[in-house]
Amino acid sequence: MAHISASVYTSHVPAIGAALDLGKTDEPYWRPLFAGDEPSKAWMREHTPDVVFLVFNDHATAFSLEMIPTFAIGTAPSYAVADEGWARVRFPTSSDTPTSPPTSPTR
Amino acid sequence: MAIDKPYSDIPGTTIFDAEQSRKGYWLNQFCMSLMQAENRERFKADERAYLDEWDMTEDQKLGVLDRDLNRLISLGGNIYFLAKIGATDGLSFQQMAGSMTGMTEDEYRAMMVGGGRSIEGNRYMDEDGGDR
Repeated sequence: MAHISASVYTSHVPAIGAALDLGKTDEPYWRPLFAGDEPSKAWMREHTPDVVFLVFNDHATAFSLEMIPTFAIGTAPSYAVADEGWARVRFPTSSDTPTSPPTSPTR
Repeated sequence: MAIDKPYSDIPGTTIFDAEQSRKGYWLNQFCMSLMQAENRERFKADERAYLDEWDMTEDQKLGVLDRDLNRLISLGGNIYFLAKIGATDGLSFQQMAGSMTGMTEDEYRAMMVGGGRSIEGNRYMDEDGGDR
């Protein structure tokens, strides 16, 4: 039987992804927030799970008003990060194939 | 009989309920179209012509042209969709949110660093006195 090893959370305001994408994580405004991620990142490097269930709310990226399910389960082999209009996203595509531990987006 | 909406009593806040969602359907669908690069290019080339392709009200179109996010919210827009307009303009979400407060970007940033807007006086209309 599967063993749930941990649950890890983050705040989710849209600006966080954009700040990462634009390399603003060291700016004084953002530094305290991203510094708070460091213990989680270190812990996750030490405790790599076999499977990750990633739960998030859709900020009008995968779904439009055409259809908004209350809950949806995504089972695709990969999930690309949405272009929310900035067209700058450099994050790696999520994949069901285990790869190396997450790194910072390449620029 | 009108639906009772006790949540219409929150200062500066429009709840995106079913009525707002119906009102803003095409406005929000227009916003979603901006997630595609070729649509952003067409919009930027001639904003009015691109807006005229959508079944939006004239007020909604003018709100987009004026980049008046507060007005668009009142016309059925939802910020998660409207954010695509600011992204198309190359603005950060902070700049967009700041534009809705009447503060400068620096003032808005300072407020957020300081813990955000105070809840005092912002829970409901007339909180500072008067009859409810």
